[in-house]
Amino acid sequence: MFAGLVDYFCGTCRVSIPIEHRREAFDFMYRETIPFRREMIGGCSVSFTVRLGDAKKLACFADRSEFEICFCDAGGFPVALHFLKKRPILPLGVLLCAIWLLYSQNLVWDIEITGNSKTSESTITEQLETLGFGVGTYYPSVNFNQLHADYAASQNDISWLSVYMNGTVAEIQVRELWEDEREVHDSGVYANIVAAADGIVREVNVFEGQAAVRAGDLVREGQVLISGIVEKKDGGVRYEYAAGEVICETASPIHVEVSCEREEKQYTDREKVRKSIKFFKKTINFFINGGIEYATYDKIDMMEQVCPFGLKELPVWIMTEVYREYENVVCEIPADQAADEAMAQLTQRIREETDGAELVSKTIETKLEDGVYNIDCLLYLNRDIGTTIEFTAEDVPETDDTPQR
Amino acid sequence: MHKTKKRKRKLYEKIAALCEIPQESVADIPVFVIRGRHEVEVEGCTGILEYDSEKIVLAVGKSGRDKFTVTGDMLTLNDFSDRLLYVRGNIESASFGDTDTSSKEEF
Repeated sequence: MFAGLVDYFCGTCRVSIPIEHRREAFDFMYRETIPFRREMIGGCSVSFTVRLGDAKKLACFADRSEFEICFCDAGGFPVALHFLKKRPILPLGVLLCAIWLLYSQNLVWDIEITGNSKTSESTITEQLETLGFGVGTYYPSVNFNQLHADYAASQNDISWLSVYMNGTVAEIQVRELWEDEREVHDSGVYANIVAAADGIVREVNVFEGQAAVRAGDLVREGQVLISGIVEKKDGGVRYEYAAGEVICETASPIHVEVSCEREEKQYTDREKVRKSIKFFKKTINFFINGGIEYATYDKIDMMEQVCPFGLKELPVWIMTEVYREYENVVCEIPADQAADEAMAQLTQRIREETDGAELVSKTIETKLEDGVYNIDCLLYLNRDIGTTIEFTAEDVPETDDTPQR
Repeated sequence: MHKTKKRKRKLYEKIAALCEIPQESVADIPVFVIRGRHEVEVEGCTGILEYDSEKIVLAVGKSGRDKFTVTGDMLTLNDFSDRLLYVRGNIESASFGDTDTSSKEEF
């Protein structure tokens, strides 16, 4: 191992000599005590590795003995030094990288947030950035106590936050603030439950207020279902914030149409790619700013964090913007395909309409007319149609002291 | 001249015998160490007279007129240092003088 190290610092090269001069060469090397390694015979020559200084001695000997000698595969420290002397920018670059690495040890490379469930990581990160803390911040100059206090004061979602620097990773722990979600109404504000759609009442459940309809009644949109004005036994009235549910059978029409003729995007295979690199907080563009000459195009943004060998994510992002040109082309689809698409749209609409409702029955009519596939559907649903409308005591006419029906 | 050398060598031999130390430590005589069939250590070699993969002839002794011949297969010379070298390979025989001489050690 030690000999290998000496060889590296002295520099080595492969020497090739004709095999008929092998004896003279080795005799010379033995007399001069020239060490050699990896002797190999190939065809009519023999080659071996010697140190660069010894190679010069061998060259002189070959000159004297008048035989040909070849040198190749020079390596080791002197060769590397010679290589770097010719390319001074390379060691300079390495030096600058080393300096930058030393400096960047004091920068925040990554942020890890734990303890959040309702507040997104991006929200917390953005808020911290507005307070001057983010990826690329020189953290020895950060006053963390001040940062914690400023963060807590700047928003209402987080009650407590701590930033702990683990190397160059900022580990942020948060405790979220959960507000009392019980409904508190302003004093002097009351409410009625009114119908949001026409329907036949099937069930009335009153939690607060007084029922204004009964099962089997036909109600119109805007009609009061549960009144916030409650009759007292003495004939007077009191006001309440009405609450409850009124299940009504309603009819919901759905119309879906799919044209057999349509405009479709067709890509022209022309695209422009713009790349840029984000390093901590700096962004370097690898393109010259300018407009995109395409009339119609899609823009696709991609952002990829550099992660060498999948080991550790670095604070370096490669950003790619792809501008892909397209043309709008009118094309015609078969009626079967139009029917399938219309049916898929209808299914989606029914799913939306029946969310929180019970489907009683439905009727569907389909027709193909002038190249358009139409579906008319009527849904009968049992659902709560009550909606809360607030009022104050001043809104109620003084003469009207009975609950509205 | 030759007689003087012979006398000198005998004197060294006597001194070595008297002091009970190896002869090579006082007299300048070559030393051969054969390790199995694959290595011969030669100390006191003065030159390489012949070198190919089947036969190696070395000049030994102070005068350099004595010869040490190794025959075999895939023979190589290795690890040159001051007056010491190694013959490695599949050794068939090692002998003093050229291959045809009588003092031959067969393996």
